[in-house]
Amino acid sequence: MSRPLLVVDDDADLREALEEVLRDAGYEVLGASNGKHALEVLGAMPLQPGLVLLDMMMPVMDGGGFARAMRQMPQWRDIPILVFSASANARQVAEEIGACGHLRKPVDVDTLVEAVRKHMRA
Amino acid sequence: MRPLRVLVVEDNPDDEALVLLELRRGGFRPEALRVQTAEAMREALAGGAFDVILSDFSMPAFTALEALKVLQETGRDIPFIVVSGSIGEYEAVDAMRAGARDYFAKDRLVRLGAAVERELAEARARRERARSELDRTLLALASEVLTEPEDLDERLRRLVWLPVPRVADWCTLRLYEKGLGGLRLVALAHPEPARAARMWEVDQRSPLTVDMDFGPARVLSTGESELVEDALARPRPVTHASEYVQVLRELGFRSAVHAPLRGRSGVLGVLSLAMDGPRRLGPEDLSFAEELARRAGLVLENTRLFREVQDAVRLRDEFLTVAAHELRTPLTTLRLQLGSLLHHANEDQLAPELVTRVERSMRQVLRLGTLVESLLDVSRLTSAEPSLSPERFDLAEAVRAVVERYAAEAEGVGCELRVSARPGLWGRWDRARVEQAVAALVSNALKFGPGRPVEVEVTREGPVGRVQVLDRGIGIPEEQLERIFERFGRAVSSRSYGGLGLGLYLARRAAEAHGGRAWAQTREGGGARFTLELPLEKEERA
Repeated sequence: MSRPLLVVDDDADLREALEEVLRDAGYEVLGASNGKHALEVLGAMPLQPGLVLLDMMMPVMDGGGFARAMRQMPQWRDIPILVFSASANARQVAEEIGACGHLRKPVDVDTLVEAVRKHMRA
Repeated sequence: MRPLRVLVVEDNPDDEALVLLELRRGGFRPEALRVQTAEAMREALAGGAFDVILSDFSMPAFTALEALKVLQETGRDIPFIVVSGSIGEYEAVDAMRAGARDYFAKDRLVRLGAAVERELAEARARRERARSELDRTLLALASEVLTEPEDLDERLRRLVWLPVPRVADWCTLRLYEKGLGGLRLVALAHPEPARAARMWEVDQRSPLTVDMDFGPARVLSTGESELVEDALARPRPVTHASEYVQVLRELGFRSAVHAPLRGRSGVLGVLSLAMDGPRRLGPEDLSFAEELARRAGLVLENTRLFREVQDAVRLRDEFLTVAAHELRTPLTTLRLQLGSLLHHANEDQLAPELVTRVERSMRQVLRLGTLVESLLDVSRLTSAEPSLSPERFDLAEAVRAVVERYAAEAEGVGCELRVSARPGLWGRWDRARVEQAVAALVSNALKFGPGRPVEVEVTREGPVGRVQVLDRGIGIPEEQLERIFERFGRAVSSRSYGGLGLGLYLARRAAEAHGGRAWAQTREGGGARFTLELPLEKEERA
């Protein structure tokens, strides 16, 4: 059984669109609306996700905050993060938080699925 | 009869009377002080101002030559005329050599009045020359000080020391502070630290506020400079400021000038010069203070404008970050939704007509995305060099991908879109920017050459990869070939052809940021040729 995917984005429509596209591509997907929520979802997941698709600019706890918090937990430290940001310097942000890669919004279906496939941990 | 302050160096009162009589005859109303020793003369010079010195040549305890030395010790420029009972030619020459301006025998004083007249005029001219020389020097120094790279307060503190003590005993600079409702003393110069401290103290305790109707406070409210020749002789009593005025009296302020520092929005502050003792400031000091204040005002205003610009840039960047997020997020959702619909078109057996509509929507979303990116880029790029995220890719492959994206649009406008690209043109470039630049060229060609073929060629030209887009469209007038690469530049009316006028500007910026270039040429037989060149990877340069 392949690992699930955690999608973190505060925009509900976008999050759902992401979930649908990724489910269509054959992944099990869970969503969270901000960093804090994502930590809760992460804690409740029986099987660790193979990848976190992470928006950066979010209320309550932003992407940076989530990444720091997640890395402090030994059991979550190695979960790969794929930054999914509207920022022009998404790449730099990705390097700063030790992400495995970045996607810049907007993105099309093929690019998204391709990137997830590439970075997903078995 | 004009008043004349005369210092008479003479042992004989009768001779003094004779000299004064002659001056009255010459049209003067002399006020005289007589001295006959060096000490008395020193004391007299220290205590008062004199227009002219008339000296006997030889007295029992003093001589004209010694008197000249006393005068020279003070450094003051007062016309010195020798009036003697018995003066020979040699003595006269000695006196002139020592600095006397003229000499007269006591029995031939007829021309004395005229000589004094001439000496006064010459002395005035000398003083004015020396003063304007000093003013020029000080103002040049002021400009230097004001443009030093130090912080503004430090520059102002250095500025106020320039006129002290040569022009005035005090120089102060006060700046308007809204919250205070008045002026805050920011720089002060006085040779005696104790007096300077007293001034700081009173300003701290009761600063000058707009409602006070005197000195700097009034200049602040009227915007007009002011010369106070003698504060004690002021006709109106000063109200609202008793403590301030009391301290000013205690410090011995008599004479002052105040000049406004002007900015776009009104008076920014006030520069003042003042004198402690009996010396008075005059119109020439006012002009000097006005010029000094004008220069300080300019610098202050520029500093403020610079801060405003910095704030504006910061705000703009913040705005752009938020705008980028807000605009890209819905575009992402739309692209994913429409993309997902198209993927499902077959298995869900969508009617072909619906598929066409979804495709059309997708094209519009892509177009909207391009516009948003151009706008965000242009707002960001105008001030700084674009930041690049280089990655290694094949230029030919990237160009093909872009051309593919425009296939539907080309079909829509009846253009045959042909591409010839030999693969293997590798380099390290920012993919998004390169694609954006190529897209701008292709989209331009389709826009201005509908119904005619558009060719895209990718070739290697030594160390660079070259992308050419050739159309048979309306062409570009020779004089517009450069202008179209400017921001918002366009060669045609925006009424006939839409678009933001940003595509080519961004294409050139992108090319240049990579060390490449972009330009346009007219084609023989009509149409335009757009060329984009990018440096290839070193090992690829054959």
